[in-house]
Amino acid sequence: MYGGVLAYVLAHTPRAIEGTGALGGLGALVLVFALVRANAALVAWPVALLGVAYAIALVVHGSSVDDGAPFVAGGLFLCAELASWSIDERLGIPAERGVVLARAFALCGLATASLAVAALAVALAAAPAGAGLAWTIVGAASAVAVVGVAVALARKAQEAARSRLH
Amino acid sequence: MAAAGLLAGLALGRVELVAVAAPFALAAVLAPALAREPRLQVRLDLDRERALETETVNARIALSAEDAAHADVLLELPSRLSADGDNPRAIAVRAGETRTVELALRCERWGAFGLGPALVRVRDPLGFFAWEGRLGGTVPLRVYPSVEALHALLSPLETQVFVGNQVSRTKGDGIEFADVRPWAPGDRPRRVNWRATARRGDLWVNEQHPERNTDVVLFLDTFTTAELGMRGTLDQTVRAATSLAHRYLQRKDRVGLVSFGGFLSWLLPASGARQLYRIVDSLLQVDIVLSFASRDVNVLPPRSLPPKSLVLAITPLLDPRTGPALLDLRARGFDLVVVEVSPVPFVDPGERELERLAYRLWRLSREATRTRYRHAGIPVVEWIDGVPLNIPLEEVASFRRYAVPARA
Repeated sequence: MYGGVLAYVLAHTPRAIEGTGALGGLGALVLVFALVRANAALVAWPVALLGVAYAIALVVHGSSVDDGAPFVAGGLFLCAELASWSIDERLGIPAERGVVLARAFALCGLATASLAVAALAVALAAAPAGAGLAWTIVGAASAVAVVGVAVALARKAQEAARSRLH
Repeated sequence: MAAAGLLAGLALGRVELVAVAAPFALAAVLAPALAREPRLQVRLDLDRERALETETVNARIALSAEDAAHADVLLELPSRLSADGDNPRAIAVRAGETRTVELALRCERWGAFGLGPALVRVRDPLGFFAWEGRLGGTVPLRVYPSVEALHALLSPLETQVFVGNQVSRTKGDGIEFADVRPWAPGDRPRRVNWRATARRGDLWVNEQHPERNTDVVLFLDTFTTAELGMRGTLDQTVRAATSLAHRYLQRKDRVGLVSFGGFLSWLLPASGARQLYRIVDSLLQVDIVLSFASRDVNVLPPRSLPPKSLVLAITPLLDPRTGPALLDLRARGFDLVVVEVSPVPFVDPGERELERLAYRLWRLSREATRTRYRHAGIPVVEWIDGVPLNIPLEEVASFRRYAVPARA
Protein backbone atom coordinates (compact mmCIF):
# COMPACT_ATOMS: atom_id res chain seq x y z
CA MET A 1 0.00 0.00 0.00
CA TYR A 2 2.80 2.37 0.99
CA GLY A 3 4.74 1.47 -2.15
CA GLY A 4 1.70 2.12 -4.32
CA VAL A 5 1.16 5.59 -2.91
CA LEU A 6 4.88 6.34 -3.17
CA ALA A 7 4.91 5.21 -6.81
CA TYR A 8 1.95 7.47 -7.51
CA VAL A 9 3.68 10.43 -5.90
CA LEU A 10 6.90 9.81 -7.82
CA ALA A 11 5.02 9.40 -11.08
CA HIS A 12 3.22 12.64 -10.33
CA THR A 13 6.38 14.71 -9.89
CA PRO A 14 9.10 13.90 -12.37
CA ARG A 15 10.67 17.30 -11.70
CA ALA A 16 11.19 16.82 -7.99
CA ILE A 17 11.72 13.12 -7.98
CA GLU A 18 14.91 13.33 -5.89
CA GLY A 19 13.28 15.15 -2.98
CA THR A 20 10.04 13.23 -2.93
CA GLY A 21 11.86 9.96 -3.54
CA ALA A 22 14.21 10.60 -0.63
CA LEU A 23 11.35 11.45 1.71
CA GLY A 24 9.29 8.48 0.58
CA GLY A 25 12.30 6.16 0.85
CA LEU A 26 13.07 7.42 4.32
CA GLY A 27 9.44 6.86 5.26
CA ALA A 28 9.58 3.32 3.88
CA LEU A 29 12.67 2.61 6.00
CA VAL A 30 10.96 3.98 9.10
CA LEU A 31 7.88 1.87 8.32
CA VAL A 32 9.97 -1.27 7.95
CA PHE A 33 11.79 -0.45 11.18
CA ALA A 34 8.48 0.14 12.98
CA LEU A 35 7.10 -3.18 11.73
CA VAL A 36 10.24 -5.11 12.54
CA ARG A 37 10.51 -3.62 16.04
CA ALA A 38 6.73 -3.73 16.53
CA ASN A 39 6.76 -0.07 17.52
CA ALA A 40 3.30 1.36 16.93
CA ALA A 41 4.39 4.86 17.94
CA LEU A 42 6.60 5.08 14.84
CA VAL A 43 3.85 4.26 12.35
CA ALA A 44 2.69 7.87 12.07
CA TRP A 45 6.10 9.05 10.85
CA PRO A 46 6.29 7.24 7.47
CA VAL A 47 2.71 8.32 6.74
CA ALA A 48 3.62 11.91 7.62
CA LEU A 49 6.79 11.75 5.49
CA LEU A 50 4.86 10.43 2.51
CA GLY A 51 2.28 13.15 3.09
CA VAL A 52 5.03 15.78 3.00
CA ALA A 53 6.41 14.20 -0.20
CA TYR A 54 2.93 14.43 -1.70
CA ALA A 55 2.64 18.06 -0.64
CA ILE A 56 5.97 18.82 -2.35
CA ALA A 57 4.77 17.03 -5.45
CA LEU A 58 1.59 19.08 -5.47
CA VAL A 59 3.46 22.36 -5.08
CA VAL A 60 5.95 21.44 -7.82
CA HIS A 61 3.26 20.10 -10.09
CA GLY A 62 1.33 23.32 -10.39
CA SER A 63 -2.06 24.75 -9.71
CA SER A 64 -4.39 22.10 -11.17
CA VAL A 65 -6.27 19.91 -8.69
CA ASP A 66 -5.02 16.35 -8.47
CA ASP A 67 -7.98 14.02 -9.00
CA GLY A 68 -6.11 11.12 -7.43
CA ALA A 69 -5.94 12.81 -4.03
CA PRO A 70 -8.80 10.72 -2.52
CA PHE A 71 -6.92 7.55 -3.41
CA VAL A 72 -3.72 8.92 -1.91
CA ALA A 73 -5.71 9.76 1.22
CA GLY A 74 -7.30 6.31 1.38
CA GLY A 75 -3.97 4.65 0.70
CA LEU A 76 -2.17 6.53 3.45
CA PHE A 77 -4.98 5.86 5.89
CA LEU A 78 -5.10 2.14 5.08
CA CYS A 79 -1.33 1.95 5.27
CA ALA A 80 -1.37 3.37 8.81
CA GLU A 81 -4.23 1.16 9.95
CA LEU A 82 -2.83 -2.03 8.44
CA ALA A 83 0.59 -1.33 9.93
CA SER A 84 -1.02 -0.89 13.36
CA TRP A 85 -2.96 -4.11 12.90
CA SER A 86 0.19 -5.91 11.86
CA ILE A 87 1.96 -4.72 14.99
CA ASP A 88 -1.02 -5.79 17.13
CA GLU A 89 -0.76 -9.26 15.63
CA ARG A 90 2.83 -9.41 16.78
CA LEU A 91 1.58 -9.42 20.38
CA GLY A 92 0.48 -12.98 19.72
CA ILE A 93 -3.00 -12.76 21.17
CA PRO A 94 -5.06 -15.34 19.30
CA ALA A 95 -8.32 -13.72 18.30
CA GLU A 96 -11.65 -15.30 17.57
CA ARG A 97 -12.96 -15.13 14.02
CA GLY A 98 -15.63 -12.69 15.18
CA VAL A 99 -13.06 -10.26 16.56
CA VAL A 100 -11.01 -10.34 13.36
CA LEU A 101 -14.07 -9.92 11.17
CA ALA A 102 -15.34 -7.01 13.27
CA ARG A 103 -12.01 -5.24 12.97
CA ALA A 104 -11.84 -5.91 9.23
CA PHE A 105 -15.40 -4.57 8.77
CA ALA A 106 -14.61 -1.50 10.85
CA LEU A 107 -11.48 -0.86 8.80
CA CYS A 108 -13.29 -1.34 5.48
CA GLY A 109 -16.10 0.94 6.58
CA LEU A 110 -13.70 3.61 7.73
CA ALA A 111 -11.65 3.35 4.54
CA THR A 112 -14.78 3.70 2.40
CA ALA A 113 -15.99 6.65 4.43
CA SER A 114 -12.53 8.21 4.18
CA LEU A 115 -12.52 7.82 0.44
CA ALA A 116 -15.94 9.42 0.25
CA VAL A 117 -14.99 12.35 2.49
CA ALA A 118 -11.75 12.95 0.57
CA ALA A 119 -13.60 12.79 -2.75
CA LEU A 120 -16.17 15.22 -1.37
CA ALA A 121 -13.42 17.61 -0.33
CA VAL A 122 -11.88 17.50 -3.82
CA ALA A 123 -15.28 17.85 -5.44
CA LEU A 124 -16.13 20.87 -3.28
CA ALA A 125 -12.92 22.52 -4.45
CA ALA A 126 -14.21 22.37 -7.99
CA ALA A 127 -17.43 24.12 -7.00
CA PRO A 128 -17.51 27.86 -7.70
CA ALA A 129 -17.10 29.82 -4.51
CA GLY A 130 -16.10 33.29 -3.60
CA ALA A 131 -12.65 34.27 -2.53
CA GLY A 132 -11.44 36.87 -0.14
CA LEU A 133 -10.88 37.65 3.51
CA ALA A 134 -14.09 36.00 4.73
CA TRP A 135 -13.16 32.62 3.24
CA THR A 136 -9.66 32.89 4.59
CA ILE A 137 -11.06 33.58 8.08
CA VAL A 138 -13.45 30.63 7.78
CA GLY A 139 -10.59 28.38 6.68
CA ALA A 140 -8.34 29.54 9.51
CA ALA A 141 -11.15 29.07 12.03
CA SER A 142 -11.75 25.56 10.71
CA ALA A 143 -8.08 24.74 11.06
CA VAL A 144 -8.02 26.09 14.62
CA ALA A 145 -11.15 24.06 15.38
CA VAL A 146 -9.49 20.94 14.05
CA VAL A 147 -6.45 21.58 16.21
CA GLY A 148 -8.77 22.09 19.18
CA VAL A 149 -10.54 18.81 18.47
CA ALA A 150 -7.18 17.07 18.13
CA VAL A 151 -6.05 18.43 21.50
CA ALA A 152 -9.34 17.42 23.13
CA LEU A 153 -9.04 13.93 21.66
CA ALA A 154 -5.48 13.59 22.81
CA ARG A 155 -6.61 14.50 26.33
CA LYS A 156 -9.44 11.99 26.20
CA ALA A 157 -7.09 9.33 24.90
CA GLN A 158 -4.78 9.99 27.83
CA GLU A 159 -7.67 9.71 30.27
CA ALA A 160 -8.82 6.49 28.62
CA ALA A 161 -5.34 5.07 28.90
CA ARG A 162 -5.36 5.90 32.61
CA SER A 163 -8.89 4.70 33.27
CA ARG A 164 -9.38 1.20 34.57
CA LEU A 165 -12.17 -1.26 34.14
CA HIS A 166 -14.11 -1.87 37.30
CA MET B 1 -1.67 14.44 11.61
CA ALA B 2 -5.14 15.52 10.50
CA ALA B 3 -4.63 18.98 11.95
CA ALA B 4 -1.21 19.30 10.30
CA GLY B 5 -2.67 18.28 6.95
CA LEU B 6 -5.53 20.72 7.18
CA LEU B 7 -3.26 23.58 8.21
CA ALA B 8 -0.82 22.75 5.42
CA GLY B 9 -3.69 22.67 2.94
CA LEU B 10 -4.84 26.08 4.12
CA ALA B 11 -1.34 27.52 4.06
CA LEU B 12 -0.44 26.17 0.62
CA GLY B 13 -3.91 26.60 -0.80
CA ARG B 14 -4.11 22.96 -1.86
CA VAL B 15 -7.36 21.14 -1.41
CA GLU B 16 -5.59 17.79 -1.99
CA LEU B 17 -3.87 18.12 1.37
CA VAL B 18 -7.22 18.71 3.00
CA ALA B 19 -8.46 15.59 1.25
CA VAL B 20 -5.44 13.62 2.50
CA ALA B 21 -6.05 14.84 6.07
CA ALA B 22 -9.80 14.17 5.89
CA PRO B 23 -9.70 10.39 6.63
CA PHE B 24 -7.59 10.97 9.72
CA ALA B 25 -9.85 13.80 10.86
CA LEU B 26 -12.88 11.61 10.25
CA ALA B 27 -11.42 8.78 12.30
CA ALA B 28 -10.45 11.21 15.04
CA VAL B 29 -14.02 12.46 15.26
CA LEU B 30 -15.77 9.10 14.85
CA ALA B 31 -13.66 7.20 17.38
CA PRO B 32 -14.64 9.20 20.49
CA ALA B 33 -18.20 9.38 19.23
CA LEU B 34 -18.47 5.59 19.04
CA ALA B 35 -16.40 4.80 22.13
CA ARG B 36 -18.35 3.81 25.25
CA GLU B 37 -16.78 2.85 28.51
CA PRO B 38 -17.39 -0.89 28.70
CA ARG B 39 -19.33 -2.39 31.59
CA LEU B 40 -18.05 -5.89 32.10
CA GLN B 41 -18.75 -8.52 34.71
CA VAL B 42 -15.98 -11.06 35.06
CA ARG B 43 -15.99 -14.15 37.24
CA LEU B 44 -13.11 -16.53 37.70
CA ASP B 45 -13.74 -20.12 38.84
CA LEU B 46 -11.71 -23.27 39.24
CA ASP B 47 -13.24 -26.72 39.11
CA ARG B 48 -11.38 -27.56 42.35
CA GLU B 49 -9.13 -25.87 44.83
CA ARG B 50 -6.74 -28.75 45.50
CA ALA B 51 -4.72 -30.82 43.08
CA LEU B 52 -1.66 -32.98 42.94
CA GLU B 53 1.39 -32.24 40.87
CA THR B 54 1.02 -33.07 37.16
CA GLU B 55 -2.76 -32.94 37.45
CA THR B 56 -4.88 -30.56 35.43
CA VAL B 57 -7.27 -28.00 36.87
CA ASN B 58 -9.86 -26.29 34.69
CA ALA B 59 -10.21 -22.55 35.04
CA ARG B 60 -13.25 -20.71 33.71
CA ILE B 61 -13.36 -16.98 33.11
CA ALA B 62 -16.93 -15.86 32.49
CA LEU B 63 -17.39 -12.44 30.88
CA SER B 64 -20.71 -10.71 30.49
CA ALA B 65 -21.13 -7.24 29.01
CA GLU B 66 -23.96 -4.75 28.90
CA ASP B 67 -22.79 -3.57 25.47
CA ALA B 68 -20.99 -5.55 22.80
CA ALA B 69 -17.26 -5.57 23.41
CA HIS B 70 -14.08 -7.13 22.16
CA ALA B 71 -11.91 -8.12 25.05
CA ASP B 72 -8.40 -9.45 25.42
CA VAL B 73 -8.38 -11.77 28.43
CA LEU B 74 -5.24 -12.91 30.22
CA LEU B 75 -4.99 -15.03 33.33
CA GLU B 76 -1.56 -14.42 34.79
CA LEU B 77 -0.05 -17.68 35.96
CA PRO B 78 2.82 -18.36 38.32
CA SER B 79 5.79 -20.15 36.79
CA ARG B 80 4.73 -23.42 38.43
CA LEU B 81 1.50 -23.52 36.47
CA SER B 82 1.07 -23.63 32.72
CA ALA B 83 -1.98 -23.29 30.53
CA ASP B 84 -2.98 -25.68 27.78
CA GLY B 85 -4.73 -23.35 25.37
CA ASP B 86 -4.55 -19.75 24.33
CA ASN B 87 -3.73 -17.39 27.15
CA PRO B 88 -4.20 -14.47 26.45
CA ARG B 89 -7.14 -14.68 24.08
CA ALA B 90 -9.24 -12.09 22.25
CA ILE B 91 -12.96 -12.77 22.35
CA ALA B 92 -16.08 -10.99 21.23
CA VAL B 93 -18.89 -10.55 23.74
CA ARG B 94 -22.32 -9.53 22.53
CA ALA B 95 -24.58 -7.27 24.54
CA GLY B 96 -26.22 -9.20 27.37
CA GLU B 97 -24.32 -12.36 26.48
CA THR B 98 -22.02 -14.32 28.79
CA ARG B 99 -18.92 -15.81 27.24
CA THR B 100 -16.72 -18.31 29.00
CA VAL B 101 -13.01 -18.74 28.43
CA GLU B 102 -11.84 -22.15 29.56
CA LEU B 103 -8.23 -22.85 30.39
CA ALA B 104 -6.72 -26.17 31.36
CA LEU B 105 -4.06 -25.42 33.94
CA ARG B 106 -1.29 -27.95 34.29
CA CYS B 107 0.13 -28.08 37.80
CA GLU B 108 3.83 -28.41 37.08
CA ARG B 109 5.08 -27.94 40.64
CA TRP B 110 3.65 -27.85 44.13
CA GLY B 111 2.71 -24.60 45.79
CA ALA B 112 -0.08 -22.46 47.18
CA PHE B 113 -1.28 -19.96 44.61
CA GLY B 114 -3.81 -17.20 44.34
CA LEU B 115 -5.05 -17.09 40.76
CA GLY B 116 -6.54 -13.95 39.33
CA PRO B 117 -7.87 -11.41 38.97
CA ALA B 118 -7.87 -11.76 35.20
CA LEU B 119 -6.35 -9.01 33.12
CA VAL B 120 -8.98 -7.69 30.73
CA ARG B 121 -8.47 -5.11 28.00
CA VAL B 122 -11.40 -3.81 25.98
CA ARG B 123 -10.94 -1.67 22.87
CA ASP B 124 -13.41 0.63 21.18
CA PRO B 125 -14.68 -0.50 17.73
CA LEU B 126 -12.04 1.56 15.89
CA GLY B 127 -9.20 0.67 18.22
CA PHE B 128 -8.51 4.24 19.33
CA PHE B 129 -9.24 3.72 23.03
CA ALA B 130 -8.52 0.86 25.38
CA TRP B 131 -9.74 0.18 28.89
CA GLU B 132 -7.78 -2.20 31.06
CA GLY B 133 -8.49 -3.71 34.40
CA ARG B 134 -8.03 -6.62 36.75
CA LEU B 135 -11.38 -8.29 37.17
CA GLY B 136 -12.85 -11.49 38.50
CA GLY B 137 -11.41 -11.75 41.99
CA THR B 138 -8.84 -14.17 43.26
CA VAL B 139 -9.31 -17.90 43.74
CA PRO B 140 -6.95 -20.10 45.73
CA LEU B 141 -5.31 -23.19 44.33
CA ARG B 142 -3.22 -25.59 46.34
CA VAL B 143 -1.01 -27.99 44.44
CA TYR B 144 0.30 -30.75 46.66
CA PRO B 145 3.63 -32.40 46.00
CA SER B 146 3.44 -35.94 44.75
CA VAL B 147 4.23 -38.57 47.36
CA GLU B 148 7.12 -40.94 46.86
CA ALA B 149 6.46 -44.59 47.67
CA LEU B 150 8.58 -45.49 50.69
CA HIS B 151 9.07 -49.19 51.28
CA ALA B 152 10.58 -48.96 54.74
CA LEU B 153 10.64 -46.30 57.41
CA LEU B 154 13.17 -45.55 60.07
CA SER B 155 12.36 -47.08 63.39
CA PRO B 156 12.92 -44.91 66.43
CA LEU B 157 15.14 -45.96 69.30
CA GLU B 158 12.25 -45.55 71.72
CA THR B 159 8.51 -45.74 71.24
CA GLN B 160 5.66 -43.94 72.95
CA VAL B 161 3.07 -45.48 75.24
CA PHE B 162 0.17 -45.51 72.78
CA VAL B 163 -0.73 -48.44 70.59
CA GLY B 164 0.62 -48.30 67.08
CA ASN B 165 2.27 -50.38 64.40
CA GLN B 166 5.85 -50.02 65.58
CA VAL B 167 7.34 -52.96 67.46
CA SER B 168 8.71 -51.59 70.69
CA ARG B 169 12.10 -52.58 72.08
CA THR B 170 10.54 -53.00 75.50
CA LYS B 171 8.74 -56.15 76.59
CA GLY B 172 5.04 -56.43 77.24
CA ASP B 173 1.80 -57.56 75.65
CA GLY B 174 2.19 -57.85 71.96
CA ILE B 175 2.55 -60.16 69.00
CA GLU B 176 6.28 -60.22 68.26
CA PHE B 177 8.21 -62.79 70.30
CA ALA B 178 10.87 -61.25 72.53
CA ASP B 179 12.18 -63.79 75.05
CA VAL B 180 11.29 -66.50 77.56
CA ARG B 181 11.43 -66.16 81.33
CA PRO B 182 10.42 -68.25 84.36
CA TRP B 183 6.77 -68.21 85.25
CA ALA B 184 5.67 -65.75 87.89
CA PRO B 185 2.36 -65.47 89.73
CA GLY B 186 -0.12 -63.59 87.57
CA ASP B 187 1.10 -64.92 84.24
CA ARG B 188 -1.67 -66.28 82.07
CA PRO B 189 -1.53 -69.97 81.12
CA ARG B 190 -1.76 -69.19 77.40
CA ARG B 191 1.66 -67.54 77.64
CA VAL B 192 3.37 -70.69 78.91
CA ASN B 193 6.05 -71.92 76.52
CA TRP B 194 5.50 -75.68 76.80
CA ARG B 195 8.65 -76.67 74.91
CA ALA B 196 10.90 -74.66 77.21
CA THR B 197 8.92 -75.90 80.21
CA ALA B 198 9.35 -79.56 79.15
CA ARG B 199 13.07 -79.09 78.56
CA ARG B 200 13.82 -77.29 81.85
CA GLY B 201 11.31 -78.90 84.17
CA ASP B 202 9.90 -75.54 85.43
CA LEU B 203 7.22 -73.34 83.97
CA TRP B 204 8.54 -70.83 81.47
CA VAL B 205 6.49 -68.18 79.72
CA ASN B 206 6.91 -66.19 76.51
CA GLU B 207 7.53 -62.48 76.49
CA GLN B 208 6.52 -60.22 73.59
CA HIS B 209 7.37 -56.83 72.21
CA PRO B 210 4.32 -54.59 72.37
CA GLU B 211 3.21 -52.60 69.29
CA ARG B 212 3.47 -48.95 70.04
CA ASN B 213 3.36 -45.73 68.13
CA THR B 214 6.15 -43.21 67.72
CA ASP B 215 6.46 -39.48 67.65
CA VAL B 216 8.24 -38.25 64.56
CA VAL B 217 9.29 -34.65 64.15
CA LEU B 218 10.23 -33.49 60.68
CA PHE B 219 12.80 -30.78 61.22
CA LEU B 220 13.20 -28.75 58.04
CA ASP B 221 16.11 -26.43 57.49
CA THR B 222 14.70 -23.46 55.58
CA PHE B 223 17.51 -20.99 56.10
CA THR B 224 18.69 -21.18 52.53
CA THR B 225 18.37 -23.19 49.36
CA ALA B 226 20.42 -24.06 46.29
CA GLU B 227 18.42 -23.98 43.09
CA LEU B 228 18.92 -24.71 39.43
CA GLY B 229 15.92 -23.95 37.29
CA MET B 230 12.77 -25.14 38.99
CA ARG B 231 14.54 -27.73 41.12
CA GLY B 232 16.35 -27.06 44.32
CA THR B 233 17.06 -28.26 47.81
CA LEU B 234 13.92 -26.65 49.26
CA ASP B 235 11.83 -28.41 46.64
CA GLN B 236 13.39 -31.74 47.57
CA THR B 237 13.02 -30.99 51.28
CA VAL B 238 9.29 -30.41 50.89
CA ARG B 239 8.89 -33.55 48.80
CA ALA B 240 10.77 -35.66 51.34
CA ALA B 241 8.78 -34.21 54.24
CA THR B 242 5.48 -34.88 52.47
CA SER B 243 6.39 -38.47 51.68
CA LEU B 244 7.64 -39.15 55.21
CA ALA B 245 4.64 -37.52 56.87
CA HIS B 246 2.26 -39.46 54.65
CA ARG B 247 3.93 -42.79 55.38
CA TYR B 248 4.40 -42.30 59.13
CA LEU B 249 0.81 -41.14 59.55
CA GLN B 250 -0.35 -44.20 57.63
CA ARG B 251 1.48 -46.22 60.27
CA LYS B 252 -0.59 -44.50 62.99
CA ASP B 253 2.39 -42.55 64.32
CA ARG B 254 2.18 -38.99 65.45
CA VAL B 255 4.00 -36.57 63.19
CA GLY B 256 5.01 -32.98 63.89
CA LEU B 257 6.74 -30.38 61.80
CA VAL B 258 9.33 -27.74 62.56
CA SER B 259 10.33 -25.28 59.88
CA PHE B 260 13.61 -23.92 61.17
CA GLY B 261 14.82 -20.94 59.18
CA GLY B 262 14.46 -17.22 58.76
CA PHE B 263 10.77 -17.72 59.45
CA LEU B 264 10.13 -20.16 62.27
CA SER B 265 6.98 -22.30 62.30
CA TRP B 266 5.92 -25.57 63.83
CA LEU B 267 3.08 -28.04 64.09
CA LEU B 268 2.65 -30.09 67.23
CA PRO B 269 2.77 -33.86 66.68
CA ALA B 270 -0.58 -35.47 66.03
CA SER B 271 -1.92 -38.35 64.03
CA GLY B 272 -4.62 -38.94 61.47
CA ALA B 273 -5.60 -37.70 58.04
CA ARG B 274 -6.34 -34.22 59.30
CA GLN B 275 -2.76 -33.90 60.51
CA LEU B 276 -1.54 -34.90 57.05
CA TYR B 277 -3.54 -32.05 55.51
CA ARG B 278 -2.23 -29.68 58.18
CA ILE B 279 1.35 -30.70 57.47
CA VAL B 280 1.02 -30.50 53.70
CA ASP B 281 -0.74 -27.13 53.88
CA SER B 282 2.03 -25.94 56.15
CA LEU B 283 4.66 -27.27 53.77
CA LEU B 284 3.13 -25.34 50.89
CA GLN B 285 3.80 -22.15 52.83
CA VAL B 286 7.42 -23.05 53.47
CA ASP B 287 9.71 -20.57 51.85
CA ILE B 288 13.18 -19.16 52.24
CA VAL B 289 13.05 -15.98 54.29
CA LEU B 290 16.36 -14.19 54.40
CA SER B 291 17.31 -13.43 57.98
CA PHE B 292 20.50 -12.81 59.87
CA ALA B 293 18.94 -13.50 63.25
CA SER B 294 20.61 -16.29 65.15
CA ARG B 295 18.35 -19.22 65.97
CA ASP B 296 18.60 -22.12 68.34
CA VAL B 297 16.17 -24.78 69.45
CA ASN B 298 15.38 -22.87 72.65
CA VAL B 299 12.99 -20.71 70.66
CA LEU B 300 10.85 -23.75 69.90
CA PRO B 301 8.01 -24.63 72.29
CA PRO B 302 8.87 -27.80 74.24
CA ARG B 303 5.72 -29.57 73.04
CA SER B 304 6.89 -29.33 69.45
CA LEU B 305 9.75 -31.69 70.31
CA PRO B 306 8.27 -34.40 72.57
CA PRO B 307 10.64 -36.60 74.56
CA LYS B 308 11.64 -39.90 72.93
CA SER B 309 10.64 -38.58 69.53
CA LEU B 310 12.47 -39.43 66.36
CA VAL B 311 13.72 -36.17 64.85
CA LEU B 312 14.28 -36.37 61.12
CA ALA B 313 16.26 -33.34 60.09
CA ILE B 314 16.07 -32.60 56.37
CA THR B 315 18.70 -30.05 55.54
CA PRO B 316 21.05 -29.01 52.74
CA LEU B 317 23.68 -28.22 55.42
CA LEU B 318 24.30 -24.85 53.83
CA ASP B 319 23.63 -22.46 56.65
CA PRO B 320 26.03 -22.40 59.60
CA ARG B 321 23.13 -21.87 62.03
CA THR B 322 21.75 -25.34 61.36
CA GLY B 323 24.74 -27.28 62.69
CA PRO B 324 24.69 -26.03 66.30
CA ALA B 325 20.93 -26.52 66.46
CA LEU B 326 21.23 -30.14 65.35
CA LEU B 327 24.07 -30.85 67.76
CA ASP B 328 22.02 -29.22 70.49
CA LEU B 329 19.12 -31.55 69.73
CA ARG B 330 21.43 -34.55 69.89
CA ALA B 331 22.87 -33.31 73.17
CA ARG B 332 19.35 -33.16 74.58
CA GLY B 333 18.97 -36.86 73.88
CA PHE B 334 16.73 -36.77 70.87
CA ASP B 335 16.92 -39.64 68.44
CA LEU B 336 18.23 -37.54 65.58
CA VAL B 337 18.75 -38.50 61.95
CA VAL B 338 20.06 -36.05 59.39
CA VAL B 339 18.98 -36.46 55.76
CA GLU B 340 21.27 -34.15 53.86
CA VAL B 341 19.59 -32.85 50.73
CA SER B 342 22.66 -32.52 48.59
CA PRO B 343 23.08 -29.09 47.03
CA VAL B 344 25.95 -30.39 44.90
CA PRO B 345 23.86 -31.03 41.74
CA PHE B 346 22.66 -27.43 41.88
CA VAL B 347 26.10 -25.85 42.15
CA ASP B 348 28.27 -25.04 39.17
CA PRO B 349 31.90 -26.02 39.85
CA GLY B 350 33.05 -23.16 37.63
CA GLU B 351 35.44 -22.99 34.73
CA ARG B 352 38.52 -21.32 36.18
CA GLU B 353 41.08 -23.07 38.30
CA LEU B 354 40.36 -20.83 41.29
CA GLU B 355 36.65 -21.60 41.08
CA ARG B 356 37.31 -25.31 40.91
CA LEU B 357 39.62 -25.07 43.90
CA ALA B 358 36.93 -23.25 45.86
CA TYR B 359 34.43 -25.90 44.83
CA ARG B 360 36.69 -28.70 46.05
CA LEU B 361 37.32 -26.91 49.33
CA TRP B 362 33.60 -26.42 49.78
CA ARG B 363 32.94 -30.11 49.25
CA LEU B 364 35.72 -30.99 51.70
CA SER B 365 34.23 -28.70 54.31
CA ARG B 366 30.88 -30.44 53.83
CA GLU B 367 32.53 -33.80 54.34
CA ALA B 368 34.13 -32.48 57.53
CA THR B 369 30.71 -31.36 58.76
CA ARG B 370 29.29 -34.82 58.15
CA THR B 371 32.17 -36.40 60.02
CA ARG B 372 31.53 -34.08 62.97
CA TYR B 373 27.92 -35.24 63.11
CA ARG B 374 28.88 -38.89 62.89
CA HIS B 375 31.30 -38.47 65.76
CA ALA B 376 28.41 -37.07 67.78
CA GLY B 377 26.45 -40.24 67.01
CA ILE B 378 24.18 -38.63 64.47
CA PRO B 379 23.59 -40.66 61.33
CA VAL B 380 24.00 -38.42 58.27
CA VAL B 381 23.02 -39.57 54.82
CA GLU B 382 23.36 -37.67 51.60
CA TRP B 383 20.31 -37.58 49.37
CA ILE B 384 21.09 -36.59 45.79
CA ASP B 385 18.48 -35.26 43.41
CA GLY B 386 17.03 -38.03 41.29
CA VAL B 387 17.78 -40.82 43.76
CA PRO B 388 14.75 -42.41 45.49
CA LEU B 389 14.36 -41.43 49.13
CA ASN B 390 14.29 -45.12 50.04
CA ILE B 391 18.02 -45.39 49.50
CA PRO B 392 19.21 -42.81 52.07
CA LEU B 393 16.63 -44.13 54.55
CA GLU B 394 18.01 -47.64 54.11
CA GLU B 395 21.52 -46.25 54.66
CA VAL B 396 20.39 -44.77 57.98
CA ALA B 397 18.74 -48.04 58.95
CA SER B 398 21.95 -49.98 58.30
CA PHE B 399 23.98 -47.36 60.18
CA ARG B 400 21.67 -47.72 63.16
CA ARG B 401 21.80 -51.51 63.01
CA TYR B 402 25.54 -51.58 63.53
CA ALA B 403 26.23 -48.37 65.41
CA VAL B 404 25.98 -48.28 69.14
CA PRO B 405 23.47 -45.64 70.16
CA ALA B 406 25.43 -42.88 71.83
CA ARG B 407 24.19 -41.19 74.94
CA ALA B 408 25.11 -37.57 75.06
